[in-house]
Amino acid sequence: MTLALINLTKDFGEGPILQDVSVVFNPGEITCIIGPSGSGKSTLLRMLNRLEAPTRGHIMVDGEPLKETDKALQRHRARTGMVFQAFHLFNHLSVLDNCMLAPITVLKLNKTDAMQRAMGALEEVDMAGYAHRRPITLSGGQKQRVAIARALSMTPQVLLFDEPTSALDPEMVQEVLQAMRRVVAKKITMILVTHEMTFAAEIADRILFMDEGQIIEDRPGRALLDDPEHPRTRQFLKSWRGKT
Amino acid sequence: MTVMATSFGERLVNMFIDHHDLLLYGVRNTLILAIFGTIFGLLLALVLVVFRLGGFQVSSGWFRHLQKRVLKIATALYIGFFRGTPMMVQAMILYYGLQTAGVRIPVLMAGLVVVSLNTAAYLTEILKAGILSLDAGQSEAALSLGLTPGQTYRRVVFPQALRNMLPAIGNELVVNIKDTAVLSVIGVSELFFMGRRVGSASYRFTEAFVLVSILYLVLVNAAVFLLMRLTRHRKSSLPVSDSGVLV
Ligand SMILES: Nc1ncnc2c1ncn2[C@@H]1O[C@H](COP(=O)(O)OP(=O)(O)OP(=O)(O)O)[C@@H](O)[C@H]1O
Ligand SMILES: [Mg+2]
Repeated sequence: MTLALINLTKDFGEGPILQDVSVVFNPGEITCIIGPSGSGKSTLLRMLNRLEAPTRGHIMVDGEPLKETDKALQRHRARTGMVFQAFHLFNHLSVLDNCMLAPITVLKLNKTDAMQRAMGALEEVDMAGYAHRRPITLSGGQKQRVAIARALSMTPQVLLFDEPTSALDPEMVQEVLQAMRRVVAKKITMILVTHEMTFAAEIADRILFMDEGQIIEDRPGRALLDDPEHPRTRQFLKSWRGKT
Repeated sequence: MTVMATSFGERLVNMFIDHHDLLLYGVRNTLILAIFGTIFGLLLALVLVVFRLGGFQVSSGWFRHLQKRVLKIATALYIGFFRGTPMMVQAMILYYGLQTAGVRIPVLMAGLVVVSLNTAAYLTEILKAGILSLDAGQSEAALSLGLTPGQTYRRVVFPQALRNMLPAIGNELVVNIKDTAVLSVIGVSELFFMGRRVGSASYRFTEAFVLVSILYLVLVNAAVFLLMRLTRHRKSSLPVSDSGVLV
């Protein structure tokens, strides 16, 4: 699936958060997005699965504008998984049921197939042994791995990650990154907002730098980190390296 | 048997023995009104709260927008009316309204409609607070997986909000046991109404209403006890659905 935004502007009422953004995400491509806080990274990601509605401009799926009907949006979201910074696991459901809910209600799988799929996804993130646990009994890293499994159990074509390790204690970051490496190996299109520069350099086919609602720099591979062209990118990376 | 020879306590016991059929009939109707009124009220509240909150934004479009606004305003007016007027007055309006319209339904049914509508108004507000106290991330995660707004409410939002609301729903049941007494004005033969009948039949109103209040106390405390058992149970062992129980 090719996802694109065309001349997209988002305004919550206090000035544009995304300003006339145009960008294409190709199938199988792994894109990392970096940028300062408030630059619109989350808003852009949420636009891609249409959790936010554009103020102006278009969301394009395989060259066609995404239709504004409930059916079309639900179908699009079912194919576009999302992993949130704060996990958002369903607290009233077990780990397994978290991963079975959408396959059953959205894809209409029967229980056996849904369970097989959910267990498969949990195995990929090394959480199969926790299938019957309640989310609140898990550590942050474990919760995030379950959240990844929940998204994977829908066999999405695109996976959106919004700072998946930012809410974690440092010792739990690696286990989540490890789970994400497995997703990378599956050749699913990935769009990842992150502050993990080393990880971005490792996995990215392409890195974008965003500032003030615009994509300032868009470079293949790790070029943006090694050799930033735009002064604002350089400024951001310098202050970032200064901090760590 | 002379009147003076018997104590107040004995007179209560005798009155219960003589009139237990009438009084227990009143208990039965009070329970029907309170229990089913709370259940129907809750079911209606689950629908109204979606209107009240305006639902989730899925697709846009001016018709959707207008529809949502109309439903939201209508629901607000509904809640305002039922919470802002005495249930006794609501009962009178329904009763005479139906009579004027030439609709004949059993008076117990009319009473049940009033309690249900009234309960729905209160529970909608409670449910709204319960939903707003949930993390918005819960419904966003559901929507991001492709669930429809309806599925998101049924599978994710309501189960969690209702869990938190259980004490408030129980409270509504207890209130309904007592407040359905006002339905006697339209002739519903609930406990208070039957107490008055026993009083006038025996010319002993004090004893009759003391007896009635004892029966109310039994009902209310039984309800409180059962609800406490239920909520304690909830905390320890019930909470999580595993492998498709809720699905
Ligand atoms: N629903 C909303 N209503 C109003 N303003 C919003 C809303 N969502 C986001 N914003 C504003 O949009 C701006 C960009 O937010 P966004 O979350 O996209 O930034 P971000 O780049 O993800 O930042 P961070 O690194 O802190 O997560 C912020 O100033 C934020 O306050
Ligand atoms: Mg963000």
